[in-house]
Amino acid sequence: MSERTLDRRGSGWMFVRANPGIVIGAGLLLLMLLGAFFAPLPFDPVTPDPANVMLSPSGQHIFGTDSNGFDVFSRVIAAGRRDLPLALIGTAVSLVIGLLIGLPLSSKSRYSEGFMRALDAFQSFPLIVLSVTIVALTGNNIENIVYAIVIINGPRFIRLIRGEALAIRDGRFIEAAVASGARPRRIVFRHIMPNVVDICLVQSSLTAANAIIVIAALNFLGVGVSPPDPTWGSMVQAGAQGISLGQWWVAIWPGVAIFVAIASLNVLANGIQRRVEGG
Amino acid sequence: MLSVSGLTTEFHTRVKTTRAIEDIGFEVPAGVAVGLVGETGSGKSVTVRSIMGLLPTQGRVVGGRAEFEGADLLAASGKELRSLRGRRIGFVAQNPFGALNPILSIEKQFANVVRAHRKISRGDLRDLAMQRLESVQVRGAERVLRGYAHELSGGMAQRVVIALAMVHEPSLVIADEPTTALDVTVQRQILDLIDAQIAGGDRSLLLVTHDLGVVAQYCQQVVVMQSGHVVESGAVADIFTAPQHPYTQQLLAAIPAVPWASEAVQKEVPIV
Amino acid sequence: MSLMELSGIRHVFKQSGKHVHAVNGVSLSVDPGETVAVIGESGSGKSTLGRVALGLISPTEGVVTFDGTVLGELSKAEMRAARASLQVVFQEPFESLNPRIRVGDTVAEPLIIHDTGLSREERRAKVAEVLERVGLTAEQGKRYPRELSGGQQQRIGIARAIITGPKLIVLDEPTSSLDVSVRARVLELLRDLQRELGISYIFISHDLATVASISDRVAVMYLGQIVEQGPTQEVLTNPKHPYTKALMSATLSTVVGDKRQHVPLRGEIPNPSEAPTACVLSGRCPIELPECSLGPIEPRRLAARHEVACIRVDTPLVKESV
Repeated sequence: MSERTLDRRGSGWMFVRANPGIVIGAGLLLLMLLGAFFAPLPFDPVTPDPANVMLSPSGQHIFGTDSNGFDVFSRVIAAGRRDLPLALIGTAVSLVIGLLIGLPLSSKSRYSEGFMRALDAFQSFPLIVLSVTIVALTGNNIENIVYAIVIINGPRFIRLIRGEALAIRDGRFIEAAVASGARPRRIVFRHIMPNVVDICLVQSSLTAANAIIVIAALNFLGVGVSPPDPTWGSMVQAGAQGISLGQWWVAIWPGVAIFVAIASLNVLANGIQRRVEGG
Repeated sequence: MLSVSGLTTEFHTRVKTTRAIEDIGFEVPAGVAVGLVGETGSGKSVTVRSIMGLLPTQGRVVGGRAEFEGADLLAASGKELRSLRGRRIGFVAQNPFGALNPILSIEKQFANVVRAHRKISRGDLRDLAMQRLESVQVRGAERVLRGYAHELSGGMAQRVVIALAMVHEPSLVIADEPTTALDVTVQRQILDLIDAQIAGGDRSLLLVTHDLGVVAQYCQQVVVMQSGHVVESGAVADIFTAPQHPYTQQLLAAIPAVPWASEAVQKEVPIV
Repeated sequence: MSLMELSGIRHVFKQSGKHVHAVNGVSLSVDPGETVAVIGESGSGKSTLGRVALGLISPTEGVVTFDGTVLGELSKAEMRAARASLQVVFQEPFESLNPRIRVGDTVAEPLIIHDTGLSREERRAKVAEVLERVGLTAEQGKRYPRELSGGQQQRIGIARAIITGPKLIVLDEPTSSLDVSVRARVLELLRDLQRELGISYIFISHDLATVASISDRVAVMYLGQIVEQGPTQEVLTNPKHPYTKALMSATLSTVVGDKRQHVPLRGEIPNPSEAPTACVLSGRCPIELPECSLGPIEPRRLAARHEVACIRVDTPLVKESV
């Protein structure tokens, strides 16, 4: 083969062709986020309209209305203002914790083993129960759900990043850096961290997807919900009874929204993974 | 014995298609050792894998013929190829531990290879395996048979691989960088061994290597590849003394001469 | 006064319960501007010795003296600072470069680490200068490792090694992973740099032919010990140790028909954890005597700096009448 295999970065269209997963996943996500914050909503999501209760989907109310007369469509979109950013923030905090603790732990010190065992013990608790308790105790507002996400995913990131960093430390270029006289801090920030970025991106996408489920689940159980603010999970809960009465639209549309959010994140994760492997 | 012409192979990925080798042609006459030599990216491994039908999924032969014992290997069905591999064509790869199954005993692996092509009783199989191992100078054949690949050194493992490759008395042996992963002193022993399998008969050898010293000492013919093409081929004696193609000239010039043709060494280590 | 002195180096570590003597009593010295080649096959301990010389491994026994200072006595910070003078080039060109950093930045790194007081502009100029010296352009310095060929990657490794003006570089099989046509040019580069900058090299390799043209002295290692060392020409024209002879006879020349009779050593290289306690070659040597298994063999001095660890130095290996 006389040509060197060029890496898949190229201009515009080449990138899209070569990385469909990343483009679709990130694109959908961005669309949902922007829509949640900037799209003009046909109806006010928090103003009840007793006159128009339980209407099935029509030209006026695309997704129908619920038992309070809220327009389902507007509420589904508006819920994105809470659910998505919370998932992303929770993920970001978990990631930062993973980096701050996982990277230093990858050096062979006495403390690292001990800390990992402590982490094992911590993770053996039923974390969802723990997070529900914490949220309930700190106040049942939706921001505290971030704590729940961080408690569950922080340890996962620590483990992942530490594992990856340990593997990277065996690399010849790390030895070369040491042989050049680099201090341990420089090795961590200049050499190890850039090489864990790939796996962090993949894991972050997956964690964000998981976070959406956690948020929806907790909201479904009534945790962290303050009516009339819309969240997907609580909307599903409110509409669940209606399904047996034939009023499917109240529960399904928020369910679809959850699904699309998770799917786009999974597609993004997959796309990043493919690119990392191919490169 | 083996006649290759116009062999062209491509690799397809979602983003592009690369032509790995183009219009490759050479002959491996009966009883002759032919060296297929080239550096990384020359396409020598792709050539051999195309002939054997062992390309990865993205690889596809898009043209050419590889005539062996009256059949075109490139046009052969999977079943036909499987029948030829191991029985009429023996293959020795670079990494012996990759070629051996880590979880089966050596004896079991002999059984698999032999039974793929013929019926044999357990007792006869053991005798055959013992004999084969002894013919490649494996000491303690009994224990080796009962043992596993990871218990062997690199040199021993490669001997076992050679024994397995030869067990059906193939008429063509293809060795793809068989000694690259081995120590210098072991390399010599293994090459002498492979040489002995060919010597004085109709069996042919296609030896793929990047090491011109190996070709000079063990092959009668050579095919030089660069960037997916054959640049020069012919008798080793001719090409090594008077290379025609600039690439061949450059390659030969780049090799440091072995600087110990002095009296003292010659006396002790005479030329064979 | 030698630039580097390795005295009585022993390095033992435990592996699945057994003691492995990776380096088992090695003494070697390197003068300023000199190239000493360390030759050996697997299990010889040559790579371990290289890392001991670099101070990357602390030997279980023995002293490493570099430029007048004993490496073992330096603090961590002092050792790091000493690395400006003591550099390395590894075997695997791609693996020794951080895949996420542009190669020019990799070359600049030692300058940053050793805080040479240069401004960013000055650093960039120095990098460009060094790149040119190793035969690369400043443009190529902006690339990532995967965009360069093996030979180019190794030149980057060399550039990184010379940028702080080191006195000694340990090269661990620097050309073994490169294509044949590239090797000669890299060796030539190394020779030129040595002539120009007066750097000493410890050149580790498994191939005598590679080092023949570049080394002043050669040390042949087997199972953790040096079995023969001396001026390169002397050792190559007058090898005395059976292992050296076996190694030379096994090397294949490209002169057609020049296949030398192979001096076989019985058996195979044993696992280093099972190394013989007497002569390292016992059990395999073609001219072995019972005396060889009595105890460790002391190196015997022959002509100028030519030492051999064998009690039968003048015995021919192969009968002439074969």
